[in-house]
Amino acid sequence: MIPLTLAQITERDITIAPWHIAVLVLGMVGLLLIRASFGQAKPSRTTTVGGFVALTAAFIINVISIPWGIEQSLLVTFGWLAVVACIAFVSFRTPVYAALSFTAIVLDVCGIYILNTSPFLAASTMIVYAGATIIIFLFVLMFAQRSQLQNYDLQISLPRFSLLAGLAVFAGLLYSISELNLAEPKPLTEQKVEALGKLMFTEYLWSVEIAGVLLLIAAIAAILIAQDNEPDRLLESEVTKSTHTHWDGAKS
Amino acid sequence: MTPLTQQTLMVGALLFTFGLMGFLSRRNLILIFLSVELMLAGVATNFIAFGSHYGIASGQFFAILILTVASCEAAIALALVVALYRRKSTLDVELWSELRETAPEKTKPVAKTDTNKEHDYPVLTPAGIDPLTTKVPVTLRDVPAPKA
Repeated sequence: MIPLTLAQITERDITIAPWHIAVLVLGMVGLLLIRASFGQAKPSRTTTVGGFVALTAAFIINVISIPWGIEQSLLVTFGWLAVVACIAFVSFRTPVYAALSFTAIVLDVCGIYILNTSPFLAASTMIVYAGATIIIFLFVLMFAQRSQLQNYDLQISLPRFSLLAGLAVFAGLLYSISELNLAEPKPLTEQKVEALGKLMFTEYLWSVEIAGVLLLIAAIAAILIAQDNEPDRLLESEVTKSTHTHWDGAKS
Repeated sequence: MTPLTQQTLMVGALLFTFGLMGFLSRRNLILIFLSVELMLAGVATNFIAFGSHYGIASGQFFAILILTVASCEAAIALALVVALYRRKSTLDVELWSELRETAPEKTKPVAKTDTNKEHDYPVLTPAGIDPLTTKVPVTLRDVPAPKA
């Protein structure tokens, strides 16, 4: 049931899920239009403007339809910042900018984690994702990226199919979120980090150990895979080195 | 369901969707892996939302596990990218579609109508695809034509 009148919206007892869904689908269509226009070689103005208008409409309706409070306003701020960073992530042509906008997404999501009573996870996500992982990605990008943009950065593959798949998946997810009937919420009774630590080292101890072993295996595998052990090149370099020393020796 | 849980779930759905779109539409190997990371972040957001809703810390623990697996995946994937880059000096994912096997076209058996009577060479039935006459692979399509 979609509430259509303002009275229904302002009445807080009514579930606002369908309204939000309509809003977010509208916004998603806007995003898809923007994405499609960036995907082409020459962005068409009507699709870009239409996308931005749908996005702005979705934002305004989202803002006026929520019950206001400090928590809600923070949530809306972080969520929309994440949406904007996501658009930047999928539409930037320069890979370094895309990687940096991924950092922005992670930071916004960390704000949402803090609102959801998990501050430890917010800190660790910031350190691991926005710190370590992005640095590794940026390192490999700068190692492998040429100075000017390549063809494979400028052209995207399957633009229409990716738009349709994204829309279908998003619609399905929103439908299942709206159909969700969760039990009554319970607040966390213990201290947040304390509860997590107790759980990690009593109930899920084996999983922690397995995760540690997995990290070790991944480190060893990464070192082994990235080694330059091509026999030809090694042999060649050794041969050239030996001839050089030989010539130097003959000269002196 | 509280509005907080609901909107957090929606943000998770959005992250997953954008990761999927990036995964399908990007052609740079590194950015494809980054899109997978974005999808993993969306799933972790769902775990956080449900764990916070029920007031248990299991959701946070599973999000930490996702974080671990994501960093393992990043390490191995980037090592693979470095190894592939050494070989072809490009990050285009479509170049590696050459690894698949091309199916041989169905050709009619060629009748022995050889006009060259001087040397009576045997004529072999063609097998597979002639690389000179078949269409250029998809990736070479993007190479700009040399300017006159």
